[in-house]
Amino acid sequence: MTPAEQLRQALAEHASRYGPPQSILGTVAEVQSDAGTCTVKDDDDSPPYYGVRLTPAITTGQNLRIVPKAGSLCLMVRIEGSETDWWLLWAEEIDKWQLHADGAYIEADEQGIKLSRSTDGLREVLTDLVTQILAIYAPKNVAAIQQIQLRINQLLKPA
Amino acid sequence: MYVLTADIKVGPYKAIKPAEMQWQHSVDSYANTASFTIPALCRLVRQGESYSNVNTAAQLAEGMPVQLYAGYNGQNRLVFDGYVSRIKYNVPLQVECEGYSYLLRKKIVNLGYASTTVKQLLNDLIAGTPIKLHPKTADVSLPALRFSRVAGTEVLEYLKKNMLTVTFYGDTLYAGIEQLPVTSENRYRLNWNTVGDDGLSFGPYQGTVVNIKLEKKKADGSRKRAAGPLKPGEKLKRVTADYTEAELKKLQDEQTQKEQLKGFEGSLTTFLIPTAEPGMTANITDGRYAERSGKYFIEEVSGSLGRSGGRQTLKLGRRL
Repeated sequence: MTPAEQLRQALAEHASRYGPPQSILGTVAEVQSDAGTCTVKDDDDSPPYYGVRLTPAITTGQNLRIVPKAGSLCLMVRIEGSETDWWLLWAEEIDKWQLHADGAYIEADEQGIKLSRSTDGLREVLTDLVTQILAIYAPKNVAAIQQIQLRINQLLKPA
Repeated sequence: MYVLTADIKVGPYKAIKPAEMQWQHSVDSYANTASFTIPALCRLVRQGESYSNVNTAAQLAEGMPVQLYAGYNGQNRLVFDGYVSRIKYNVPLQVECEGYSYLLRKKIVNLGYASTTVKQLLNDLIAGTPIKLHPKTADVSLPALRFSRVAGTEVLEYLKKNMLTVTFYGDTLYAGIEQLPVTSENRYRLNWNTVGDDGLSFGPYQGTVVNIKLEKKKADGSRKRAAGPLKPGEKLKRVTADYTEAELKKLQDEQTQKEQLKGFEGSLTTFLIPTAEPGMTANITDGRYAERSGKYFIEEVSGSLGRSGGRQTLKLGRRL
Protein backbone atom coordinates (compact mmCIF):
# COMPACT_ATOMS: atom_id res chain seq x y z
CA MET A 1 0.00 0.00 0.00
CA THR A 2 1.21 3.50 -0.78
CA PRO A 3 1.54 5.97 2.14
CA ALA A 4 -1.55 7.78 0.81
CA GLU A 5 -3.56 4.54 0.92
CA GLN A 6 -2.28 3.72 4.42
CA LEU A 7 -3.28 7.18 5.61
CA ARG A 8 -6.70 6.82 3.98
CA GLN A 9 -7.24 3.45 5.64
CA ALA A 10 -6.18 4.77 9.07
CA LEU A 11 -8.54 7.73 8.72
CA ALA A 12 -11.37 5.43 7.61
CA GLU A 13 -10.82 3.20 10.65
CA HIS A 14 -10.86 6.23 12.93
CA ALA A 15 -13.94 7.68 11.26
CA SER A 16 -15.77 4.34 11.42
CA ARG A 17 -16.05 4.78 15.20
CA TYR A 18 -18.28 7.76 14.55
CA GLY A 19 -19.43 6.55 11.14
CA PRO A 20 -22.74 5.57 9.57
CA PRO A 21 -25.63 4.29 11.70
CA GLN A 22 -25.41 0.76 13.06
CA SER A 23 -29.18 0.30 12.99
CA ILE A 24 -31.96 1.73 10.82
CA LEU A 25 -35.68 1.97 11.44
CA GLY A 26 -37.37 1.45 8.07
CA THR A 27 -40.25 -0.22 6.27
CA VAL A 28 -40.27 -3.72 4.77
CA ALA A 29 -40.82 -3.24 1.03
CA GLU A 30 -40.71 -6.85 -0.13
CA VAL A 31 -39.97 -10.27 1.34
CA GLN A 32 -38.02 -13.04 -0.41
CA SER A 33 -39.04 -15.78 2.00
CA ASP A 34 -37.31 -18.62 0.11
CA ALA A 35 -34.04 -16.75 -0.12
CA GLY A 36 -34.30 -15.74 3.54
CA THR A 37 -34.00 -12.05 2.75
CA CYS A 38 -36.14 -8.96 2.44
CA THR A 39 -35.91 -5.46 1.01
CA VAL A 40 -36.14 -2.51 3.39
CA LYS A 41 -36.86 1.11 2.49
CA ASP A 42 -35.47 3.89 4.61
CA ASP A 43 -37.05 6.79 2.73
CA ASP A 44 -38.72 7.29 -0.63
CA ASP A 45 -35.87 9.32 -2.14
CA SER A 46 -33.15 6.71 -1.73
CA PRO A 47 -32.70 3.23 -3.15
CA PRO A 48 -33.87 0.49 -0.77
CA TYR A 49 -31.57 -1.86 1.13
CA TYR A 50 -31.66 -5.13 -0.80
CA GLY A 51 -30.79 -8.53 0.62
CA VAL A 52 -31.48 -7.74 4.28
CA ARG A 53 -31.17 -11.10 6.03
CA LEU A 54 -34.06 -12.49 8.07
CA THR A 55 -31.53 -14.39 10.19
CA PRO A 56 -27.94 -13.33 10.95
CA ALA A 57 -26.63 -16.13 8.74
CA ILE A 58 -28.59 -17.72 5.92
CA THR A 59 -28.35 -21.44 6.65
CA THR A 60 -30.81 -24.33 6.33
CA GLY A 61 -31.07 -25.05 10.06
CA GLN A 62 -32.62 -22.08 11.83
CA ASN A 63 -34.01 -22.28 15.38
CA LEU A 64 -36.06 -19.10 15.10
CA ARG A 65 -37.17 -17.43 11.90
CA ILE A 66 -39.56 -14.51 11.67
CA VAL A 67 -40.89 -13.54 8.23
CA PRO A 68 -42.05 -9.92 8.30
CA LYS A 69 -45.10 -8.57 6.53
CA ALA A 70 -44.49 -6.24 3.56
CA GLY A 71 -45.27 -2.68 4.58
CA SER A 72 -44.43 -3.31 8.21
CA LEU A 73 -42.24 -1.02 10.30
CA CYS A 74 -38.92 -2.74 11.07
CA LEU A 75 -35.49 -2.34 12.61
CA MET A 76 -32.37 -3.71 10.95
CA VAL A 77 -28.83 -3.79 12.27
CA ARG A 78 -25.44 -3.99 10.57
CA ILE A 79 -23.60 -7.29 10.71
CA GLU A 80 -20.00 -6.90 11.95
CA GLY A 81 -19.88 -3.28 10.80
CA SER A 82 -20.18 -4.40 7.17
CA GLU A 83 -21.15 -1.91 4.47
CA THR A 84 -23.43 -4.36 2.74
CA ASP A 85 -24.72 -6.93 5.28
CA TRP A 86 -27.83 -6.17 7.36
CA TRP A 87 -30.05 -8.28 9.61
CA LEU A 88 -33.73 -7.65 10.28
CA LEU A 89 -33.96 -7.56 14.06
CA TRP A 90 -37.60 -6.65 14.58
CA ALA A 91 -40.77 -6.12 12.55
CA GLU A 92 -44.02 -4.61 13.78
CA GLU A 93 -46.18 -7.10 11.85
CA ILE A 94 -45.20 -10.55 10.77
CA ASP A 95 -46.44 -13.09 8.21
CA LYS A 96 -44.88 -16.15 9.76
CA TRP A 97 -43.08 -17.21 12.89
CA GLN A 98 -41.15 -20.50 13.02
CA LEU A 99 -39.41 -22.15 15.96
CA HIS A 100 -37.34 -25.31 15.69
CA ALA A 101 -36.03 -27.03 18.79
CA ASP A 102 -34.35 -30.38 18.23
CA GLY A 103 -37.19 -32.12 16.38
CA ALA A 104 -39.97 -30.06 17.94
CA TYR A 105 -41.49 -27.43 15.66
CA ILE A 106 -43.95 -24.59 16.06
CA GLU A 107 -45.15 -22.42 13.20
CA ALA A 108 -47.76 -19.67 13.25
CA ASP A 109 -49.20 -17.72 10.33
CA GLU A 110 -52.63 -16.61 9.14
CA GLN A 111 -53.46 -20.23 8.10
CA GLY A 112 -53.18 -21.34 11.72
CA ILE A 113 -50.72 -22.91 14.10
CA LYS A 114 -48.61 -25.96 13.42
CA LEU A 115 -47.22 -27.85 16.38
CA SER A 116 -45.29 -31.04 15.77
CA ARG A 117 -42.59 -33.32 17.06
CA SER A 118 -40.90 -35.65 14.64
CA THR A 119 -43.76 -36.73 12.29
CA ASP A 120 -46.55 -36.31 14.83
CA GLY A 121 -48.62 -33.14 14.76
CA LEU A 122 -51.02 -31.77 17.39
CA ARG A 123 -53.82 -31.49 14.84
CA GLU A 124 -53.45 -35.13 13.81
CA VAL A 125 -53.44 -36.27 17.47
CA LEU A 126 -56.57 -34.28 18.32
CA THR A 127 -58.31 -35.41 15.12
CA ASP A 128 -57.55 -39.05 16.00
CA LEU A 129 -58.90 -38.43 19.49
CA VAL A 130 -62.16 -37.02 18.15
CA THR A 131 -62.47 -39.89 15.66
CA GLN A 132 -61.94 -42.44 18.44
CA ILE A 133 -64.48 -40.73 20.70
CA LEU A 134 -67.06 -40.87 17.92
CA ALA A 135 -66.22 -44.52 17.14
CA ILE A 136 -65.98 -46.23 20.53
CA TYR A 137 -68.58 -44.39 22.54
CA ALA A 138 -72.11 -43.34 21.71
CA PRO A 139 -71.93 -39.67 22.53
CA LYS A 140 -74.99 -37.75 23.58
CA ASN A 141 -74.11 -34.89 21.32
CA VAL A 142 -72.39 -35.95 18.09
CA ALA A 143 -72.94 -32.54 16.48
CA ALA A 144 -71.03 -30.78 19.31
CA ILE A 145 -68.03 -33.10 18.93
CA GLN A 146 -68.03 -32.59 15.18
CA GLN A 147 -68.08 -28.86 15.90
CA ILE A 148 -64.96 -29.33 18.08
CA GLN A 149 -63.25 -31.10 15.14
CA LEU A 150 -64.06 -28.08 12.97
CA ARG A 151 -62.53 -25.73 15.54
CA ILE A 152 -59.40 -27.88 15.76
CA ASN A 153 -59.08 -27.73 11.96
CA GLN A 154 -59.43 -23.96 12.00
CA LEU A 155 -56.88 -23.47 14.75
CA LEU A 156 -54.26 -26.04 13.82
CA LYS A 157 -52.48 -26.82 10.56
CA PRO A 158 -51.53 -30.37 9.56
CA ALA A 159 -47.97 -31.41 10.40
CA MET B 1 18.21 23.57 -30.54
CA TYR B 2 15.04 22.85 -28.65
CA VAL B 3 12.57 25.56 -27.71
CA LEU B 4 10.09 24.74 -24.98
CA THR B 5 6.50 25.25 -26.12
CA ALA B 6 3.10 24.66 -24.55
CA ASP B 7 -0.57 25.24 -25.25
CA ILE B 8 -3.65 25.18 -23.13
CA LYS B 9 -7.14 24.71 -24.46
CA VAL B 10 -9.70 25.69 -21.88
CA GLY B 11 -13.40 26.05 -22.57
CA PRO B 12 -13.86 28.03 -25.75
CA TYR B 13 -10.30 29.43 -25.61
CA LYS B 14 -7.57 27.87 -27.66
CA ALA B 15 -3.80 28.08 -27.56
CA ILE B 16 -3.34 29.97 -24.28
CA LYS B 17 0.32 30.14 -23.32
CA PRO B 18 0.93 29.27 -19.66
CA ALA B 19 3.61 30.73 -17.40
CA GLU B 20 3.87 27.41 -15.61
CA MET B 21 2.07 24.10 -15.54
CA GLN B 22 2.20 20.77 -13.73
CA TRP B 23 0.42 17.47 -14.26
CA GLN B 24 0.27 14.10 -12.54
CA HIS B 25 -1.15 10.69 -13.57
CA SER B 26 -0.91 7.48 -11.62
CA VAL B 27 -2.17 3.92 -11.93
CA ASP B 28 -2.75 3.93 -8.15
CA SER B 29 -5.23 6.79 -8.25
CA TYR B 30 -8.33 7.56 -10.27
CA ALA B 31 -7.81 11.31 -9.91
CA ASN B 32 -5.36 12.71 -12.46
CA THR B 33 -4.49 16.27 -11.56
CA ALA B 34 -2.90 19.29 -13.17
CA SER B 35 -2.48 22.99 -12.57
CA PHE B 36 -1.38 25.93 -14.64
CA THR B 37 -0.53 29.56 -14.09
CA ILE B 38 -1.46 32.35 -16.46
CA PRO B 39 -1.43 36.16 -16.10
CA ALA B 40 -4.34 37.51 -14.08
CA LEU B 41 -4.75 40.42 -16.45
CA CYS B 42 -4.58 40.50 -20.23
CA ARG B 43 -4.53 43.43 -22.56
CA LEU B 44 -6.27 43.26 -25.85
CA VAL B 45 -5.00 45.42 -28.66
CA ARG B 46 -7.78 47.00 -30.57
CA GLN B 47 -7.81 49.14 -33.64
CA GLY B 48 -5.69 52.18 -33.37
CA GLU B 49 -3.68 52.35 -30.20
CA SER B 50 -6.34 51.74 -27.60
CA TYR B 51 -5.91 48.89 -25.14
CA SER B 52 -8.55 47.21 -23.07
CA ASN B 53 -7.89 45.20 -19.93
CA VAL B 54 -9.44 41.78 -19.56
CA ASN B 55 -9.68 40.00 -16.22
CA THR B 56 -8.53 36.46 -17.04
CA ALA B 57 -10.24 34.84 -14.05
CA ALA B 58 -13.61 36.17 -15.18
CA GLN B 59 -13.22 34.31 -18.50
CA LEU B 60 -12.69 30.92 -16.85
CA ALA B 61 -15.15 28.88 -14.86
CA GLU B 62 -15.03 25.70 -12.83
CA GLY B 63 -16.06 22.70 -14.91
CA MET B 64 -14.66 23.98 -18.22
CA PRO B 65 -12.88 21.26 -20.21
CA VAL B 66 -9.09 21.64 -20.25
CA GLN B 67 -6.38 20.11 -22.36
CA LEU B 68 -2.71 20.73 -21.67
CA TYR B 69 -0.13 20.25 -24.39
CA ALA B 70 3.64 20.43 -23.94
CA GLY B 71 6.67 19.76 -26.09
CA TYR B 72 9.46 21.37 -28.02
CA ASN B 73 9.53 23.53 -31.15
CA GLY B 74 5.76 23.59 -31.43
CA GLN B 75 5.54 19.77 -31.55
CA ASN B 76 3.24 19.66 -28.54
CA ARG B 77 1.75 16.45 -27.20
CA LEU B 78 -1.30 16.07 -25.02
CA VAL B 79 -0.16 15.66 -21.40
CA PHE B 80 -3.45 16.22 -19.57
CA ASP B 81 -7.13 16.00 -20.41
CA GLY B 82 -9.74 17.01 -17.86
CA TYR B 83 -11.70 19.85 -16.31
CA VAL B 84 -11.10 23.03 -14.31
CA SER B 85 -11.67 22.04 -10.69
CA ARG B 86 -10.73 25.25 -8.92
CA ILE B 87 -9.61 28.77 -9.78
CA LYS B 88 -7.28 30.41 -7.29
CA TYR B 89 -7.64 34.13 -7.52
CA ASN B 90 -3.96 34.93 -7.12
CA VAL B 91 -1.66 37.05 -9.22
CA PRO B 92 -0.71 35.39 -11.49
CA LEU B 93 -3.87 33.35 -11.78
CA GLN B 94 -3.60 29.70 -10.71
CA VAL B 95 -5.99 27.16 -12.16
CA GLU B 96 -6.29 23.65 -10.76
CA CYS B 97 -7.63 20.83 -12.91
CA GLU B 98 -8.76 17.27 -12.39
CA GLY B 99 -9.11 14.46 -14.92
CA TYR B 100 -12.40 12.84 -15.90
CA SER B 101 -12.94 11.83 -12.25
CA TYR B 102 -14.05 15.46 -11.80
CA LEU B 103 -17.31 14.60 -13.57
CA LEU B 104 -17.95 11.75 -11.12
CA ARG B 105 -16.99 13.90 -8.12
CA LYS B 106 -19.68 16.36 -9.19
CA LYS B 107 -22.27 13.72 -10.08
CA ILE B 108 -24.61 12.72 -7.27
CA VAL B 109 -25.67 9.10 -7.64
CA ASN B 110 -28.63 7.20 -6.22
CA LEU B 111 -28.02 3.56 -7.05
CA GLY B 112 -29.32 0.36 -5.48
CA TYR B 113 -28.99 -3.28 -6.52
CA ALA B 114 -30.13 -6.64 -5.20
CA SER B 115 -27.09 -8.04 -7.00
CA THR B 116 -24.88 -6.64 -9.73
CA THR B 117 -21.43 -6.72 -11.32
CA VAL B 118 -18.61 -4.19 -11.41
CA LYS B 119 -19.30 -3.58 -15.11
CA GLN B 120 -23.01 -2.94 -14.59
CA LEU B 121 -22.33 -0.65 -11.63
CA LEU B 122 -19.79 1.41 -13.57
CA ASN B 123 -21.99 1.59 -16.66
CA ASP B 124 -24.75 3.08 -14.50
CA LEU B 125 -22.24 5.39 -12.84
CA ILE B 126 -20.89 6.87 -16.06
CA ALA B 127 -24.28 7.13 -17.79
CA GLY B 128 -24.81 10.68 -19.04
CA THR B 129 -21.09 11.56 -18.98
CA PRO B 130 -18.55 11.39 -21.82
CA ILE B 131 -16.56 8.81 -19.79
CA LYS B 132 -15.98 5.46 -21.51
CA LEU B 133 -15.56 2.12 -19.81
CA HIS B 134 -12.43 0.14 -20.56
CA PRO B 135 -13.32 -3.16 -22.30
CA LYS B 136 -11.09 -5.10 -19.88
CA THR B 137 -13.01 -3.88 -16.83
CA ALA B 138 -13.55 -6.77 -14.41
CA ASP B 139 -16.88 -8.57 -14.40
CA VAL B 140 -16.77 -9.42 -10.70
CA SER B 141 -20.10 -10.11 -8.97
CA LEU B 142 -21.12 -7.70 -6.24
CA PRO B 143 -23.55 -8.25 -3.37
CA ALA B 144 -26.63 -6.14 -2.57
CA LEU B 145 -25.36 -2.57 -2.82
CA ARG B 146 -26.72 0.87 -2.17
CA PHE B 147 -25.27 4.30 -2.86
CA SER B 148 -27.69 6.89 -1.62
CA ARG B 149 -27.16 10.47 -2.78
CA VAL B 150 -23.37 10.31 -2.74
CA ALA B 151 -20.71 11.64 -5.10
CA GLY B 152 -19.89 9.23 -7.94
CA THR B 153 -16.32 8.95 -6.66
CA GLU B 154 -17.71 7.10 -3.60
CA VAL B 155 -18.50 4.21 -5.95
CA LEU B 156 -14.86 4.20 -7.10
CA GLU B 157 -13.72 4.31 -3.46
CA TYR B 158 -15.90 1.28 -2.71
CA LEU B 159 -14.22 -0.65 -5.53
CA LYS B 160 -10.78 0.42 -4.31
CA LYS B 161 -11.65 -0.80 -0.81
CA ASN B 162 -12.38 -4.15 -2.43
CA MET B 163 -8.79 -4.16 -3.67
CA LEU B 164 -9.54 -3.40 -7.31
CA THR B 165 -7.23 -1.20 -9.35
CA VAL B 166 -9.29 1.84 -10.37
CA THR B 167 -7.78 4.36 -12.72
CA PHE B 168 -8.49 6.63 -15.66
CA TYR B 169 -6.63 6.48 -18.96
CA GLY B 170 -7.70 9.82 -20.40
CA ASP B 171 -11.49 9.58 -20.67
CA THR B 172 -11.52 5.79 -20.18
CA LEU B 173 -12.23 4.32 -16.78
CA TYR B 174 -10.65 1.00 -15.84
CA ALA B 175 -11.44 -1.12 -12.78
CA GLY B 176 -9.92 -4.56 -12.54
CA ILE B 177 -8.10 -7.15 -10.49
CA GLU B 178 -4.86 -6.66 -12.36
CA GLN B 179 -3.00 -3.70 -13.72
CA LEU B 180 -3.46 -3.52 -17.45
CA PRO B 181 -0.72 -4.94 -19.66
CA VAL B 182 1.86 -2.38 -20.71
CA THR B 183 0.77 -0.20 -23.59
CA SER B 184 4.06 0.84 -25.18
CA GLU B 185 7.72 1.35 -24.45
CA ASN B 186 10.00 4.38 -24.01
CA ARG B 187 13.74 3.94 -24.20
CA TYR B 188 15.95 5.84 -21.76
CA ARG B 189 19.74 5.91 -21.66
CA LEU B 190 20.87 7.40 -18.37
CA ASN B 191 22.78 10.71 -18.71
CA TRP B 192 21.88 10.71 -22.40
CA ASN B 193 18.18 11.42 -22.77
CA THR B 194 17.47 11.71 -19.03
CA VAL B 195 17.99 14.60 -16.62
CA GLY B 196 18.44 12.92 -13.25
CA ASP B 197 18.57 9.43 -11.85
CA ASP B 198 19.27 10.26 -8.17
CA GLY B 199 15.87 8.87 -7.26
CA LEU B 200 16.66 5.44 -8.64
CA SER B 201 17.06 3.29 -5.55
CA PHE B 202 17.76 -0.11 -6.97
CA GLY B 203 18.69 -2.22 -3.99
CA PRO B 204 19.33 -5.94 -4.15
CA TYR B 205 16.17 -7.97 -4.51
CA GLN B 206 14.80 -8.99 -1.15
CA GLY B 207 11.71 -11.14 -1.03
CA THR B 208 9.06 -9.22 0.86
CA VAL B 209 6.72 -11.12 3.10
CA VAL B 210 3.22 -9.88 2.38
CA ASN B 211 1.20 -9.93 5.55
CA ILE B 212 -2.25 -9.29 4.16
CA LYS B 213 -4.68 -12.10 3.48
CA LEU B 214 -8.00 -11.53 1.78
CA GLU B 215 -11.20 -13.01 3.05
CA LYS B 216 -14.86 -12.92 2.10
CA LYS B 217 -17.40 -13.85 4.75
CA LYS B 218 -20.36 -15.46 3.04
CA ALA B 219 -24.04 -15.11 3.95
CA ASP B 220 -24.07 -18.54 5.59
CA GLY B 221 -21.29 -17.42 7.93
CA SER B 222 -18.54 -19.48 6.26
CA ARG B 223 -15.33 -17.83 5.10
CA LYS B 224 -13.77 -17.81 1.67
CA ARG B 225 -10.03 -17.16 1.73
CA ALA B 226 -7.39 -16.87 -0.93
CA ALA B 227 -4.96 -19.17 0.85
CA GLY B 228 -4.88 -21.13 4.10
CA PRO B 229 -5.10 -20.05 7.71
CA LEU B 230 -3.48 -16.90 9.08
CA LYS B 231 0.11 -17.12 10.22
CA PRO B 232 1.43 -15.01 13.12
CA GLY B 233 1.92 -11.42 11.99
CA GLU B 234 -0.46 -11.68 9.07
CA LYS B 235 -3.37 -9.31 8.83
CA LEU B 236 -6.79 -10.12 7.51
CA LYS B 237 -8.46 -7.81 5.03
CA ARG B 238 -12.12 -8.51 4.48
CA VAL B 239 -13.74 -7.74 1.15
CA THR B 240 -17.45 -7.57 0.38
CA ALA B 241 -17.41 -8.22 -3.39
CA ASP B 242 -18.41 -11.77 -4.33
CA TYR B 243 -15.00 -12.84 -5.56
CA THR B 244 -14.51 -16.45 -6.53
CA GLU B 245 -11.63 -18.21 -4.79
CA ALA B 246 -9.59 -17.89 -7.99
CA GLU B 247 -10.23 -14.14 -8.11
CA LEU B 248 -9.27 -13.76 -4.43
CA LYS B 249 -6.05 -15.62 -5.14
CA LYS B 250 -5.33 -13.41 -8.14
CA LEU B 251 -5.96 -10.24 -6.10
CA GLN B 252 -3.64 -11.46 -3.37
CA ASP B 253 -0.95 -12.40 -5.87
CA GLU B 254 -1.22 -8.95 -7.43
CA GLN B 255 -0.83 -7.38 -3.99
CA THR B 256 2.16 -9.61 -3.24
CA GLN B 257 3.78 -8.66 -6.51
CA LYS B 258 3.31 -4.96 -5.79
CA GLU B 259 4.85 -5.29 -2.34
CA GLN B 260 7.77 -7.33 -3.59
CA LEU B 261 8.75 -4.62 -6.00
CA LYS B 262 9.60 -2.17 -3.29
CA GLY B 263 13.30 -3.09 -3.42
CA PHE B 264 13.39 -1.89 -6.98
CA GLU B 265 11.30 1.23 -6.92
CA GLY B 266 12.68 4.56 -7.93
CA SER B 267 12.08 7.64 -9.95
CA LEU B 268 13.68 8.99 -13.04
CA THR B 269 13.64 12.56 -14.30
CA THR B 270 13.46 13.00 -18.04
CA PHE B 271 12.78 15.66 -20.65
CA LEU B 272 9.31 16.14 -22.12
CA ILE B 273 10.18 13.83 -24.98
CA PRO B 274 9.53 10.95 -25.13
CA THR B 275 6.13 11.53 -23.50
CA ALA B 276 5.49 8.98 -20.77
CA GLU B 277 2.20 7.73 -19.38
CA PRO B 278 1.40 5.40 -16.51
CA GLY B 279 1.06 1.86 -17.80
CA MET B 280 3.99 2.18 -20.22
CA THR B 281 7.39 0.49 -19.95
CA ALA B 282 10.62 2.37 -19.33
CA ASN B 283 13.46 0.51 -21.00
CA ILE B 284 16.51 1.83 -19.13
CA THR B 285 20.09 1.45 -20.26
CA ASP B 286 22.76 2.36 -17.72
CA GLY B 287 26.34 2.33 -18.98
CA ARG B 288 27.88 2.62 -15.50
CA TYR B 289 25.75 0.25 -13.40
CA ALA B 290 24.62 -2.50 -15.69
CA GLU B 291 22.42 -4.04 -12.97
CA ARG B 292 20.11 -1.02 -13.19
CA SER B 293 19.45 -1.65 -16.86
CA GLY B 294 16.14 -3.28 -17.62
CA LYS B 295 12.49 -2.71 -18.31
CA TYR B 296 10.32 -1.18 -15.62
CA PHE B 297 6.61 -0.54 -15.33
CA ILE B 298 5.80 3.19 -15.13
CA GLU B 299 3.38 3.63 -12.20
CA GLU B 300 3.16 7.38 -12.08
CA VAL B 301 4.15 10.35 -14.22
CA SER B 302 4.37 13.87 -12.88
CA GLY B 303 5.39 16.60 -15.24
CA SER B 304 6.19 20.27 -14.99
CA LEU B 305 6.86 23.07 -17.38
CA GLY B 306 8.08 26.52 -16.40
CA ARG B 307 10.81 29.08 -16.77
CA SER B 308 13.41 26.53 -15.67
CA GLY B 309 12.44 24.03 -18.35
CA GLY B 310 10.19 21.06 -18.89
CA ARG B 311 10.57 17.82 -16.98
CA GLN B 312 8.81 14.51 -16.46
CA THR B 313 9.39 12.46 -13.31
CA LEU B 314 8.56 8.79 -13.73
CA LYS B 315 7.84 6.63 -10.70
CA LEU B 316 8.95 3.15 -11.60
CA GLY B 317 7.34 0.00 -10.35
CA ARG B 318 7.91 -3.64 -11.06
CA ARG B 319 10.75 -4.88 -13.21
CA LEU B 320 9.36 -6.53 -16.30
